[in-house]
Amino acid sequence: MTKMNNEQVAASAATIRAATDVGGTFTDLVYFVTDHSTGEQRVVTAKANTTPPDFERGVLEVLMRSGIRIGEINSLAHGTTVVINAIAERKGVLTGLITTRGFRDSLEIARGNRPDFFNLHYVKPEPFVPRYLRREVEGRLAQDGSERWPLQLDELPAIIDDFRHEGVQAIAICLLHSYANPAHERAVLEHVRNLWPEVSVVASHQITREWREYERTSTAVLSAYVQPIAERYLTRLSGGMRERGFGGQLYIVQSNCGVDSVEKTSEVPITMVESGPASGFWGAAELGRLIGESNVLALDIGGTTAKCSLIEGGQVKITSDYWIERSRLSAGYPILVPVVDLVEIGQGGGSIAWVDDFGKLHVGPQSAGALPGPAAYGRGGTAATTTDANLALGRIDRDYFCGGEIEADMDSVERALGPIAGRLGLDITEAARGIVRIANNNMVNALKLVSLNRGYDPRDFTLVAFGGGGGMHAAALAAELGMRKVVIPRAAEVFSAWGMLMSDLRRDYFITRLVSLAPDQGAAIRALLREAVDGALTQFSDEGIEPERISFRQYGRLRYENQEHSVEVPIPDGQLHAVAIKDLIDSFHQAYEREYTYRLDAPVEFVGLHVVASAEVGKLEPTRLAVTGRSLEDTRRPNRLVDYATEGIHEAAIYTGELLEPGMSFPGPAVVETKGTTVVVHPGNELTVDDYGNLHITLS
Amino acid sequence: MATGTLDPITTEIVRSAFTAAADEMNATLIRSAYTPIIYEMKDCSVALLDAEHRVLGQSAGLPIFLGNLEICTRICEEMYGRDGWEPGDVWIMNDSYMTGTHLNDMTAFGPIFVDGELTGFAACRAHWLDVGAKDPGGPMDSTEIYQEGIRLGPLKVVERGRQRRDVTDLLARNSRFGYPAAGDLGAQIACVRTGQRRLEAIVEKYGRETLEAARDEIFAQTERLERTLVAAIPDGVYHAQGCIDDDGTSDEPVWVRVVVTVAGEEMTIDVTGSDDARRGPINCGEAQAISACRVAYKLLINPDNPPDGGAFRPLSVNVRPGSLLGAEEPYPCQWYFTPLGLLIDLVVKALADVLPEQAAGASYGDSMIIGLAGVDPRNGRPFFDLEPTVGGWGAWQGSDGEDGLINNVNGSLKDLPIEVLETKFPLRMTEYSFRADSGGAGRWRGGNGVIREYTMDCDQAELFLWFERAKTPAWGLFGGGTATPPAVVLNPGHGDQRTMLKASRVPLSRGDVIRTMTGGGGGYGSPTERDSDALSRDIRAGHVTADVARTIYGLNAEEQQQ
Repeated sequence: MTKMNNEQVAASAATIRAATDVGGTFTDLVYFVTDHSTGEQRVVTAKANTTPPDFERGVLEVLMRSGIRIGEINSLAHGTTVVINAIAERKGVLTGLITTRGFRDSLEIARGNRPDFFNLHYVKPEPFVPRYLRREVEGRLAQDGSERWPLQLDELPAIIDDFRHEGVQAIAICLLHSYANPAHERAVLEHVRNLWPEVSVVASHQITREWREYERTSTAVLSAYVQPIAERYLTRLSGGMRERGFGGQLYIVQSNCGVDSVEKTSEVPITMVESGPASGFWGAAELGRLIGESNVLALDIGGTTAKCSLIEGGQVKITSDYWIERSRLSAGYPILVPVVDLVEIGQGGGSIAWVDDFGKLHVGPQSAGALPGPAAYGRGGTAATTTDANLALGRIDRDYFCGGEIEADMDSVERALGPIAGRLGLDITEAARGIVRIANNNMVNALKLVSLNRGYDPRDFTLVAFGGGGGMHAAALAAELGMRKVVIPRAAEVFSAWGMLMSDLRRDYFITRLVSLAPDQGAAIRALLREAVDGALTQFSDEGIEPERISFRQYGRLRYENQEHSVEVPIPDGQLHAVAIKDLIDSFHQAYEREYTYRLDAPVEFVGLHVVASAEVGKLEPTRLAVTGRSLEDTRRPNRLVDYATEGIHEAAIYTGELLEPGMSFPGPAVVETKGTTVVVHPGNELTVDDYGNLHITLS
Repeated sequence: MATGTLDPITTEIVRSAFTAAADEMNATLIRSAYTPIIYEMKDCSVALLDAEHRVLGQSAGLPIFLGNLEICTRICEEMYGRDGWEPGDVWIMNDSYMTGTHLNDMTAFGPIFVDGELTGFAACRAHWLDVGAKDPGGPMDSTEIYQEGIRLGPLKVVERGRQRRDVTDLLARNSRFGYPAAGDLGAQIACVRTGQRRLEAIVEKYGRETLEAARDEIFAQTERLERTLVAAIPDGVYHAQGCIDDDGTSDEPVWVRVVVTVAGEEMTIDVTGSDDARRGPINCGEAQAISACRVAYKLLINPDNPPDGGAFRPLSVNVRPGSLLGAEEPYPCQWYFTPLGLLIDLVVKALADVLPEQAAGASYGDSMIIGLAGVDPRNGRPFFDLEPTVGGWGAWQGSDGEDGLINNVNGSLKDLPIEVLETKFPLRMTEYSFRADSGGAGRWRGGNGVIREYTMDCDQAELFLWFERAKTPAWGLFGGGTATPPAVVLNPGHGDQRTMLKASRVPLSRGDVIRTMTGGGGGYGSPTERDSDALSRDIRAGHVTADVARTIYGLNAEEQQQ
């Protein structure tokens, strides 16, 4: 990859940092131009249609369309749903699995659980590799990594011949206890590459070093399943960019909120699985740092889904306990990669309201999407959505719908709400209020899942809400949860892209290794740590990243002996003498009690490491907004009646968001409108604009 | 609208608040529980009740605990009076004849006072690893309840907010694993407190009047729905019977007999014709027999709606005191769930002719438990591995049964990963795979059971086994075939090979191999009608062998060539 050197950057008049985000419907581009002489920062956005299956076309299209000169972009961060789409739509490649003798059914037995347990017709999630493509090799390791009996590779050529014959395009390898010692997996991997150099192949240890064979096999299989697709996509994207003169750094957004190089991502593309949502949460943490809020509940409301995550002490939670398609009704599929700890529900502006056979109102999870979209789009949508209800209540301005780009079709809104109202025995306005209340209730429950259900009190947090629908609902949700403060970031509708531009190059390493916490075990833990750090440094140095740029954070995963749940505790630098071990145990007891409400007088054991390696890669430097001295009056538009559901109808002051300046403040009832979002300020709320143009809403 | 002042939206929001409160209680329990049986296997259940002991919200756990936590608060009230409830108290109890279940299941509950008024109860049940029975975990061959551990009627463990140290000590002292017991008790107390806080908050938020109106409407909706669904079943009297293999102390089969009567919008499940209580530990208290009937009813009638206080109103259950399903002192109850798994399948079978779309072939039927105890040579400490095993499920109209899925009383219980098993215990697993041909044949095939094979890596250990349903293997429906029953083989292929199903304290030594095989599920429809593509897929995958394809499915050699 060509690098733009520092002199070139300094010589140009401005620095351009861009982010593109491929969503289900649209591909967004956001770029920030920082003028070197004035320090002023401009935000430019553009949109193009997403272009499945060749998603890179949409990205190149939006870049061309924006008018940006591709050659002048210093860095581009790229988030994409290409991996999750390939999985969700089952459009990966035919995959074969090679595993330990006796265990080819592990993938299909899964964990044998039946979450939908009143369903006599429960159907297990179908494995991504059918049984006839799951093959076994002889050889066995013990749990400590020692060899019980040697690996036999003599059957491999026949397996590979079969795979070729069956049309397999990718191979996953997962052997028992490879988290403790990857030697056997490495040998199989190497042999497969020799036998069939063109095939896409991945071994579980390349992705994760954690135990549980089903979860690790599932991880390797899903990674293999999408690998050729992701690789092709990334190759075409970077090739297409270069052809168009791009000379900057291209980074791919990862599920752990970091970014990584195209080369590294191509090796294990499954790490992109939550590429899009992660960056919004990272953005919320960065914003929190900027404005002095270290405890944040972050909420991203889009057209189809709402996602939330909890940030404590400025830290986004990264776990490897990630599942797709898991619900009350299905066991889902585990993927052991570092992913931001989030809850996602089918609840967004386009969510469809419906009444079931027993007269109960529901909102979502079905969405009207972009086509036909909400009834108000006037594109043939007949179902009432949350957006339609918000329009009917005057919460969204019918004369400034979608920033004035779409004329709200209020007749179809009424037609869509009519049947709902009829079924509920309510009038149309009451039905619209009902939809907003149910939608809010669904989102409140999601916020409870990441806070109350994990032992956190939402009242200790600030709600940072973004995405197109964040501002519309945030104040009501905060009130419901007893929270005191809401922050709606500037350019909230493209906040995820801002988050991408604030990201570091980041890699999370999780390693399972049971070590007792006897006073003399410090050396063993230190050695394991050394192994992890050295491995990371070698990886980085192979990619030309100097060790000085990399910083490490290291956590031990500790638990009461034999208990399941481990708690992460920072491991101090330096020698781990007996005293340090005791300190480690003490901080575990404290952290445990905070999370689980009690502590035990029981032995503590060390189950593994979580090491975070990060390197700054030229973040965006947020700049303060200029103050022109404009009066608040000049930002106002005509008042209108807004229905605040349970709080009644009020005449609300309406403000143009783009004109608001730092220091301005006003009380609710009010609405702030920008081209991309609407912020509803309830009676009794107080809104102030901070130095960066973020809106702070204080609840009474 | 039924309730005048109350709008349907508020009713929905209150319903969701109750469910969310129960979910939060459940999350607290799972998060803070000490033993894997609770956090991994989810052998637990929680409920939020109103002041009349009716369910406001219930959260996932074992389906078999459906709707019988309230029996505990009722019994406590009968014994100590309505005035016996004091704010901040938490009680526990495990008496099998009261709670219906075995002594390992400890139920904790506490009253919820809002503004000085008794407003409801929070309750949870969790399986404790050991409650001091004659054998670790619980005996396989007990003949009296006194051999099954410490037995508690309602006992106050937290008094006005303070945990009683004497009671905690008593409990820890009566378990082979004292501190896990104390840890799990702590988790249950935390769970009850969460329920108390949540209901208080809900009452404060919505007001007592709105809440009660919403509750009444929720109950009424559920009752209306269930009455409609029961009324749609043709009136009649439907029978089914089957046996479990034995009671663990003799070879005599134990019969469970079910008579289901549907009359208008009412259903009665009568199990009074089942055998008398037995000497061995397969008896259960009436409360659990009722729960099992509710599970069966729910599977067929109203699987989607979360259970609440309006559920099961059209259902009556008749149990005969003194029978194995209405056990009385001193009959042992350790394996109370074994006849219940069968009972659930039998209710489905009885109604299959009138509910052919909702029914399914029988499942493999029981938890298929293996226990291995000994001393771990790696650290000199005692170990105890206790695992249920997955098996095959019955097919239904339009679909094959599932291969390798946990049994019906166990809900979302997960198996133990091999890598975790080999780390925790001096054992080695040599195979975990599907057992070909074990599912009953059919137009839709019954699911296959599994093979799970252990090798001992320690010098001395003991084997415990509770494998069941060999005498009534999973039956098919409408011409579908019967499944292969379970089997366990010790040291297969060696001179000392032994086959067994139930065992207690069989001595083992290093290198001994225990090969467990679970049964399949029943088929649905005649095998000769099976879709030929589906059959070829099965053969290719090895789920059905060529032999069975030929002899049972009638595949001819020519087709097989293709």
